[in-house]
Amino acid sequence: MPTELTAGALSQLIHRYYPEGLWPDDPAYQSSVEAQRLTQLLAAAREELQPWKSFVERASEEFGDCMRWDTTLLWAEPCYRLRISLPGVVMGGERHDEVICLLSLLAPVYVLYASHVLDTGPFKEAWTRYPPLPTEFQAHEARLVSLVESTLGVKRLPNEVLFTPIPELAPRTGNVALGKALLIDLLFTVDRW
Amino acid sequence: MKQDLSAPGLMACVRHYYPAGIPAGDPRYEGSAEIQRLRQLLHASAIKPGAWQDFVQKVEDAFSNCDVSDSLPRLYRPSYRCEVALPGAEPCPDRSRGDAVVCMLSVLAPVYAVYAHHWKDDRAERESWTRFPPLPPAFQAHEAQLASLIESTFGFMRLSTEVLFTPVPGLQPLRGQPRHRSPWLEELLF
Repeated sequence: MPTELTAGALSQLIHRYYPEGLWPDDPAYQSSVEAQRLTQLLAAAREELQPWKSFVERASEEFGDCMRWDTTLLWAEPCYRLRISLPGVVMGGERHDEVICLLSLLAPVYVLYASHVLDTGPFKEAWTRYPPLPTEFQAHEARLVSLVESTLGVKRLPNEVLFTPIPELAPRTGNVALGKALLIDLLFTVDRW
Repeated sequence: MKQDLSAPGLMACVRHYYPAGIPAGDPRYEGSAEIQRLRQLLHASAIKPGAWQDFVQKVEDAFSNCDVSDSLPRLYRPSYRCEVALPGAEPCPDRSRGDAVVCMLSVLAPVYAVYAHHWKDDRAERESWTRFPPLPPAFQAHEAQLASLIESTFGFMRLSTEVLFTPVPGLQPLRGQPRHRSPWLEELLF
């Protein structure tokens, strides 16, 4: 684990899990030492889900009045993911606002972002926002930051680190062309709606 | 005989092609007379593939400085679609945003709809929206030109936003049931 959570240190770390200059469709990608290492890490994480499940239970107690979804996909993505709706969001409603927490398997770091969907029929919109989150998300964000950091002891990464380009690597899912990957894609996931 | 293209007429039309009260995942849905009728129509639509390609060529000629893409009806979507980007789009490989007018022509009735679509994905933040009329001013010249081409080529009638979003209780679109509400005519016709 890097002692510093700078873009440089994290970039160096993720080079252990993604082969340089290869795209996932290339057979050499999956057979590379780096991809094999990530596969092993994902397999080990699938066997040790209890700490994450305990955190989800705590979040369920803390956000009992909100909908919650554990959408972790440890077959493909090196992160845990928990979505928590804002209070007042109901299934089938026109508006759907959530704060999403991604927790990396590769380093003790996490990210929070806001996701918004509005569907009235004639007008549909969806967006994601990274800090500073819109005002209506901030109370939820603060509660979740407190819970994550006190329970898991991980550090939140600032935007300038999250969005550092890592052009020589490609995540295994998400169809991101070589040259386009960002640190957030590789530490967490490309699927960030 | 001329088809009734009012909202009640179109509701009767979609009931001819979607079984009432049967979920889309239920084997009885696919085996129903209504869905069989819809499948036949998808294979023998009023617009022949050649006529559609001629139309797309007309659109490309009319919007020569804009990207045009189209799609044919599919098993889960009974409509032809054509999308015309607004001028000034970024080059394709590095495109991080897009604005377009999209038209949909139904296979079930001689009707069409137009909407505006916007998206942005700079690999960090993402946003998208679709709006049915009234479209934002920047989209209105494209909207008028595309509507004129559709009507002069196929004689289809444009549906108002109010008619498009009329709920049709009891039916389920090919793509499955929208959660917690009845489907709209728009979801059944297109």
